[in-house]
Amino acid sequence: MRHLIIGNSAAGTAAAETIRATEPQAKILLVSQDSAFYSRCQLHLVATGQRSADQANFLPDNWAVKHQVELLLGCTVTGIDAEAHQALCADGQRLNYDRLLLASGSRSFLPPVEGLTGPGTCCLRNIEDALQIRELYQASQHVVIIGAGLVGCELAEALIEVGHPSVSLVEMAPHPLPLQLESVTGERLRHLMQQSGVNMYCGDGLARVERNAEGLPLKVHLQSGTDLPADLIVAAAGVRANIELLSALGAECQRGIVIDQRCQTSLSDIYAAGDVTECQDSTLQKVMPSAIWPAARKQGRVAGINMAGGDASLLDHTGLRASVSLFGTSMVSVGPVFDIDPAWRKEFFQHTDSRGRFCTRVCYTNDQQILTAAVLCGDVSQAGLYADAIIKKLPLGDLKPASVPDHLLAAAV
Amino acid sequence: MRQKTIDVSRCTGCKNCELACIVAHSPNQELQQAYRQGGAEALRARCKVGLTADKSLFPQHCRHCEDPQCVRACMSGALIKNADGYVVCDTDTCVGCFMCVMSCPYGFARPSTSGKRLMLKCDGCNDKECMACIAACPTGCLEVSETDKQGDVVQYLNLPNSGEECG
Repeated sequence: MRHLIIGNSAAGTAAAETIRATEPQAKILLVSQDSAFYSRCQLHLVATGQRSADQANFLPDNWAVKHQVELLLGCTVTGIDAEAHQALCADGQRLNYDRLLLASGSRSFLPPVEGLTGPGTCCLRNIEDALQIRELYQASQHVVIIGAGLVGCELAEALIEVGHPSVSLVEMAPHPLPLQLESVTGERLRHLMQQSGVNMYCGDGLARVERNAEGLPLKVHLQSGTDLPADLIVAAAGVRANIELLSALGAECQRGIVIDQRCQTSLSDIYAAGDVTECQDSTLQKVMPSAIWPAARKQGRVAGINMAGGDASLLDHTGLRASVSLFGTSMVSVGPVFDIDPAWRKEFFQHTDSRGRFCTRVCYTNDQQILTAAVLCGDVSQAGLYADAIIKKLPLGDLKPASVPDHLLAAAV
Repeated sequence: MRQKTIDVSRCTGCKNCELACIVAHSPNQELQQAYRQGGAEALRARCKVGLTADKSLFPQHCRHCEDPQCVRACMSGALIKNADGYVVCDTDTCVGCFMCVMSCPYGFARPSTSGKRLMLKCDGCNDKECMACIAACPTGCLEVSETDKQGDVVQYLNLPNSGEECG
């Protein structure tokens, strides 16, 4: 069977691997706009020169040969002819397929703010964005980052690490990482980042960007009335899924393309995986995006197996997991921390570990004592146990003290 | 495939496995020097003897799972399951995102204790004839065996009862 995969990141490459493993005779063509393989999670390190673009490659050099994947990189697919089972490329090529996987990811979203678009404004989504920031940041006096999500916070930290003199972070929510952290840990992170040299403007938004005669940024005006000097602006205020290829065909879409447990779209012979999708989340029990690397890999693997005639399903799937280390403090968040059921009980544990780190754990449990969400800060070495308990809906039980939890024993059998 | 069997009933909690692991991963394969000069990283044993809720001993070792969640979660390509079935981390490639830590259901992918952005895990003493923990185990709790079966590299025997089963 001829398999066509659009997208060469986490989901697309995972699918290619499982297609090859499931169907040794398959013909696999992987087409992507990107001209190289790279891990988007490392772009903040590329942007600050701490890693080269080559080092951001997450695949071994012989990957395509080993899995017998034909590559068509730097090629943009502009349309799908579902009836003819063909993908149309910008250069006029038509690519035939029996099964198609759309793993086209998402793109940065620039908030509609006066003066934001223009030279000196970057996003951080693609390797080109990272290289552009790398070119601009050394000459810049003042960097303003819009959005304190994972991308914004990690970039702020990386810029401080390479010695940038002025890094400001603007966030609408009262604390950084609003989707991952609850108020106690969030406030602690805000304080930590401020102490570490990032100028934090939380609970504030962008009102207007003032530019000079050459069109370069001069100042950022915030809604609170504060003015920040700025010559480099990085917008990290969210993404939009690249759904157009399939939404144009009438595929079921919300913010992303809706896929079922087998990663199939509402269109026959067309599958989707990764940031472009929405699917049933096992913790919140609703259809939503799962835009994290491990979730994209899992969807890619499941899609690949099913495309090749196997049978796999997205069991215990959730994108509500995040791990981040900022300024020497590691944090892991699991579950719908941004959407806590008021009936859940919130417990707060804290201790100082043997290395003198102040560690906190925030745990949410429902009326059956099932762990529903958790935020670990400082010592995250047991994070996997918490995540497993939340995904499998197990009680908090003896995760509370640092002993071996019961469900770990059960898992060992 | 070389397999590690862990007979939990034989564990006396002597922690020789932990010390042997520290030595095996120290700069000069020597315990005193590991403590004096090895730095925090050398001092984290990749295995650990824990206590269950009812205070039974439970030796915890990386299972080198057949379907390793840490490898599945790795965004840098540092973690791989090698030809011998061991899940190993290339420390030059690891950026310390700790998504492996978040994804290991056994809690055995762990951050480096040195504060470096690096994960640490059991490497199965890949370069040695016998795993250091097994060689150091005086009670026969840890044993090595050969198996043709595919699966996790580590197999547990005689597990203590979990609290739930005890009622």
